[in-house]
Amino acid sequence: MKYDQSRIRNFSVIAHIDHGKSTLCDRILELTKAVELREMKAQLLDSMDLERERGITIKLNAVTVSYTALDGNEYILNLIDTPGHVDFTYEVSRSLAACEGAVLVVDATQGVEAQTLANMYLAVDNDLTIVPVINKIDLPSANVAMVKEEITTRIGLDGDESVLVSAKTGENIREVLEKIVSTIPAPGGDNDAPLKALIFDSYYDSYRGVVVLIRVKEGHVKVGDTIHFMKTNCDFLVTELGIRTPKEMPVDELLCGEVGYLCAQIKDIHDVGVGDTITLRDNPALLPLPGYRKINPMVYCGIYPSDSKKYEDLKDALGKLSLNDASLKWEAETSQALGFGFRCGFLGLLHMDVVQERLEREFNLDLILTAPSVIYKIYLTDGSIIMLDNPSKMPEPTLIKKIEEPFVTAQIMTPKDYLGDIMELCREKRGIHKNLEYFDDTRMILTYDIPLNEIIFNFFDKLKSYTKGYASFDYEFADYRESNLAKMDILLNGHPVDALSSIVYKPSAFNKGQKMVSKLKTVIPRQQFEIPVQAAINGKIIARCDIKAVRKDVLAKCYGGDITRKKKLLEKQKEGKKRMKSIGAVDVPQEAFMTILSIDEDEN
Amino acid sequence: MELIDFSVKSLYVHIPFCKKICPYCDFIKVLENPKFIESYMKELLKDISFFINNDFKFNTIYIGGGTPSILSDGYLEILLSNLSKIKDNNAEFTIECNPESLNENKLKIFKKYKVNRISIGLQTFKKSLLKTLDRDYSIDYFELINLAKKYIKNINVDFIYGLPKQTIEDVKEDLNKFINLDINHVSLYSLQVEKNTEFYNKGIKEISSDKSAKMYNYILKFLEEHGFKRYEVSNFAKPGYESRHNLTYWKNEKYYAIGIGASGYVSNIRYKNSGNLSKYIKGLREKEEEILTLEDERKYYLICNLRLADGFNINEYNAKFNKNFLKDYKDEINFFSSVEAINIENNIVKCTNYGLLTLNLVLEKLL
Repeated sequence: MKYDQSRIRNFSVIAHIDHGKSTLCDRILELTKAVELREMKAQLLDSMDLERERGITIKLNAVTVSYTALDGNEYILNLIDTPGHVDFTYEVSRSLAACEGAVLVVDATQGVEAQTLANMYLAVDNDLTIVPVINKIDLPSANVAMVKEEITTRIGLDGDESVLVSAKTGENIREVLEKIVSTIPAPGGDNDAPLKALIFDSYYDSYRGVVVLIRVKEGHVKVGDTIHFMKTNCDFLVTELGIRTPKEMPVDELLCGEVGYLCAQIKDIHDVGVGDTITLRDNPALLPLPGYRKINPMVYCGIYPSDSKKYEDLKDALGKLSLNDASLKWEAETSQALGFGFRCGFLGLLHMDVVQERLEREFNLDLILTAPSVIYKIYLTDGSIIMLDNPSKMPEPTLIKKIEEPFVTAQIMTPKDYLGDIMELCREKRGIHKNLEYFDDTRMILTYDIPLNEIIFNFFDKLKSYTKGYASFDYEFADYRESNLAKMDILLNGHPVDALSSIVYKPSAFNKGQKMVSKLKTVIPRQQFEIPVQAAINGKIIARCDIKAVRKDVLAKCYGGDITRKKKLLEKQKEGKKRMKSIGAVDVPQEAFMTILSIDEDEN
Repeated sequence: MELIDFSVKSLYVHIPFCKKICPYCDFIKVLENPKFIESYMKELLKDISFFINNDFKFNTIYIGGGTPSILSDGYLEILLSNLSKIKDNNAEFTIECNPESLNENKLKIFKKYKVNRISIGLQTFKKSLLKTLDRDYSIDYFELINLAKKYIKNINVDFIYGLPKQTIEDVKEDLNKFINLDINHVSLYSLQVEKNTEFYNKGIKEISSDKSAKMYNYILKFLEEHGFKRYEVSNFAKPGYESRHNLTYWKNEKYYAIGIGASGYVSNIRYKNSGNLSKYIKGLREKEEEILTLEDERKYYLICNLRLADGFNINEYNAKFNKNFLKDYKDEINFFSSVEAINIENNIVKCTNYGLLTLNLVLEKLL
């Protein structure tokens, strides 16, 4: 293929979760023959096992295909996939910065949802050309007219311009490609200008070092060039360039407007910052590209190896993982109860879940996670301010002037039948009602300011169960506000367990404390002595329950002379105990540290 | 039989046949079938001839099952006469019986071949519970035991507690009636619902550990008041009537085992014979073997000896395994002392009553 900047199209596909984005991407790859049919796995771009299993896209992924349009010309299409979950908004904005256009997928049976709007705004912020696509038109419950109307009135695009497709059956996929070619502009930039290439993703390969995914915005880069990373200020010799089709295909150079990968024997993952600009050492650009707005994790938790000998392995794994998960933050911390580990910051609970699973699966680690916490702003009496991401590190109450917690503005779209339930839920979660409007004849949009802490504890699950799954939900950080908060400690056998501390809203502390200790009673196995479980605020016990000593566990018979069997049973039992942490002689199972997340479950 | 070790002084013989399959039993057993019994006995006698040919003299021989007492008088004669050739004069010679198949004629045969101990599975006196166990509840246990006593002095009976719907009152009743039997040994087992049993398949659950502890403690107190000593977790005897054969197990001593599904311990090998009847009667002898390191033997030593009320001697342990028990287990000993699970006095380590009741937790920390 001959390079022709005017025949390149760089685009993303954005959608609400489950609206069929990944399936649409698969069809596009099929149609452009990028993938031989025998290699076709469902949802090809979702390369992590975890993604395919859960049916969600977590990591963005880029593919280059060629397409001969009806005008007879051959076009190079660079497709950059994006995640669809609210936790991964940052990843979406990363992919969008490498594109000139976006395909917006809307489910013909669901219509526009809260996330659709959120992603849409991101695309508009990036000045992208939007191609609306209505998917799942093959389903009997599809309501194309309604969805077109919504796209017109709610999003402000021409709904009648939407391409009607079924990604499942492959219907009308060609029209999507034609629309991309005809409406999305070719990339700008000057191929002869000094190089500016945006790093939008990277991953580690044990043979080639760090592999960097780039979009060339200005100039071009060749194998053998000495490149310069403008933010991290490092130089490297380019050893390999290529495009992913999605198989890697080496090329000699990447030219202005193109998307591809770059290897330069980069051994240290810290040298590569996603959002950084690559230029040439000998002919550098004056200014870097705007890059990415720095993402701040909203949720923190402690991650510890259950076997303390695996600390270094965990450290190594976090390093490799954060290489292609720029939003994951981590730093070493120590817990009296759990030993050496890391305090990690996440975009949200799903992100936390995904990181845990990836660490356990891809790096074969057995982990203990502490309950997630938001970042509190603590104003001390001496005038200083602490950003607190670990409840156990809360200063003495006498030193604290006031505490602020992060609030988010949440938009909930719901069929109006569930309005009462949702308002009740938001009230329970300390939400402040801001706005209520009709979205269409049957659906409403509620706007609430809610403490983020309340969102991370069961909000989404409850919302789904209250509305039979019909409500959709999106939120963004609003501001910090003063709240009536206190640290709640948990004492096992009289010893405070730092990893079980949490920060609670004082008026509901008594209730939370009660639930917490009763739940811990069910999670911690009975042992050979009675274990008091107490919740305390400022040293004052607010709730207590006792785990009675085990009275009998012996197996009365010994299977005739078959003592081997007895020994195996005991060894298995011992193995099970190894997964527990011993705190003040009490064996505490891993799930105990997440107890606070599940104390409301029984009410559902 | 490839292993010859003349220091082994105990032999276990398994008779797998039963008239009915008890709903809780997970030992190797098969419904009786004359053809199988004939072939099985032929093979078993071959195994016994190995010991005869090598001139073994055992201190204890134990015939267990299954139900050894369902063998016909003829087979019993052959089995016992052969076994009597490989026991020494003072041997303890035990046969397990069930109440349904035990009769005067069989007792006469036992006596003739110097069987000097019988173990009878009574399980409970209560008729409704016997029905749950699919047992013949019309038998008068008093008559049966009185008859047995005419021939054999040393009698054990087995009871089960923790049966579905069994109350603590039922257990008390069983104990009162047991005392009236006026015998010297009793084993009480709490019901364990094992996989591949009728109880398991029916979804029957074991009673709570608290309830089981309550029953056990009652049993212990009652039997101690009536002159019995608990010498092992589940075994109670009047002085001098402890089962010498079972003590070889608990003291981690060696024993041969013949017959399908039987487990033995010879030299540094623990083995379990295959439970496959058709292979056995074709003359095939398969077994799973565990070759023990010194560390394995040490673990077995603890698992076994701590079940004994008298525990074990630290000097013996230290010498056997080249260890220092008090030093190696300093933290554990402190912990177990604080929760009153073990006692160390005069170089003897033993579990307290609480330690015996929670022996799994004790062993888990020590292994």
